[in-house]
Amino acid sequence: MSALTPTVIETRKLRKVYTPNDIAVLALDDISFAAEEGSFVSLVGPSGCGKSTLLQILAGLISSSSGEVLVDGAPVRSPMPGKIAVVFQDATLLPWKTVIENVEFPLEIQGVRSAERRQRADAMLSLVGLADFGGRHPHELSGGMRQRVSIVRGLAQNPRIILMDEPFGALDEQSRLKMGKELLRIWSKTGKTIFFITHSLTEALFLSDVVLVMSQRPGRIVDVIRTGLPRPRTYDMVGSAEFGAARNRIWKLIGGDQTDADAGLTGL
Amino acid sequence: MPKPLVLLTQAGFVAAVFAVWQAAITLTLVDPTILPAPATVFAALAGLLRSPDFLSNAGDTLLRIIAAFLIGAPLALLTGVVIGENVNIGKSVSPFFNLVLAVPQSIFLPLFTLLFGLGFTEKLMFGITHVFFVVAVNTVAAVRHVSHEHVVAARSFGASRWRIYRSIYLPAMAPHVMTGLRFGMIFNIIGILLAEMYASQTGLGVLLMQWGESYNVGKLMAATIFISVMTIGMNEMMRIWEARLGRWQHSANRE
Repeated sequence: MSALTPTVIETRKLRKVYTPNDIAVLALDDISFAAEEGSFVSLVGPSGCGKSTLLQILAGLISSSSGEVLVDGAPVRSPMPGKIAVVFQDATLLPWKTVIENVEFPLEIQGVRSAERRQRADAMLSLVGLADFGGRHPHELSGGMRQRVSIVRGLAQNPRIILMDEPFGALDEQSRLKMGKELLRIWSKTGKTIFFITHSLTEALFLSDVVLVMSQRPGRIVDVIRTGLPRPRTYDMVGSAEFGAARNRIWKLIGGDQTDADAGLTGL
Repeated sequence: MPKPLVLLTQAGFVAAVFAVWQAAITLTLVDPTILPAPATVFAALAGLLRSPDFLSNAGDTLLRIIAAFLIGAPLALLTGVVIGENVNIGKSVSPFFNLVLAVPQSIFLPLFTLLFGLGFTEKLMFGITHVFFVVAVNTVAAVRHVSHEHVVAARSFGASRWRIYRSIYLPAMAPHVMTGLRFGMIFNIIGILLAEMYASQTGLGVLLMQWGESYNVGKLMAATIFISVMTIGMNEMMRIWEARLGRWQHSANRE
């Protein structure tokens, strides 16, 4: 995290206006931040504040109304396969394909030859302990396993940047932290830059180097928190005083009980 | 219930129908000129299958059915995709499709004979209209079933528009489209036979009407069985294909 680490993602004054039924709605306003190469950056904020919209703009899936996104200094205007991979919720695994076919699907689109495709998919599935499930269909797997497949599908593309949109949102709190640790393990092995959206403050603090805090709509970045927690992260850090203080600070920033931001985390 | 037992019960049911039928004849409960014995009907059926005249009429009917399907189904698929993909076209056109489906198409038959005569063209047009609407409506529904999230994911992988149609739309739509095609075929057969029975020079429908009006019940029933078996066979073939294309769906829904 030194000043010498190059910036890999940068946004400059991003603004997004939607006009459903001819009424303009400001979804995102003045979003400027930079993410360093190999860092783990989380974005937290209340539901409906535009987190997913921002992710889709970063991914080149939708365009911003003004401002720009730079990846390695070059503007992003359309999806950048091979450079940016997106991990969606598990619903985006194709139900008619097997697990390994799902992992291979982006590689197939990106023109990777079939033997190499299979080998990369196999290797990635082994990394998350799903080597024996390649021939199954997504519906035969548990929610957590599907989510691991979804992550592997992103990683197998060997991108520099992985954008994750509430990837563990559908999991219970325990599986969520477990998956988080799993993700950190993979991340430390691969050195990717991860941009991670979540509405769980605990999850964001536990995983990240930097937490971007977003306000209610229109989404603005109201704080940038460097967690400063040592790695590897352990579960007992979650109970520490610094952790609690950081969480309370974010909690106040995003408007406390007006949000669902830390729903279900009181037991931790 | 185990599968062999199910099959046995079903076979028993068919046997019971024939047994009751035969008993009604043996006990002279019905007039054999109105309802001939099963053996008589099967003898008539064997005769029909050797009759060049019957087979030529059957060939004419089959040709009309296939031609109407081959023209009507692709047209309907194309229309369905355009309507399903384009929200604005869909909004303005879809209601009409549903309204048309509510009107019994049989009432247009006299109009069709006036417009297109009594020959091949009239049967073809009547068949096509029967195929078209049901397939189009099902195709629109199939397009609406394509998951937006799957499309977005594929775009993020760098998929082209064409690739998205091929790898996302096609497999997602296939089971629904197949259901539409199967119903289109059933409606098509209804339409063609109806047109033949109403006014025609050739075709199975003509024979049915002739034999019915002349009390030739043996041949009438034999032809009825022949048509039933053919249509059941066709429907089952399409149903098996439909089930195969939709296997992922059923197993995914079971969860």
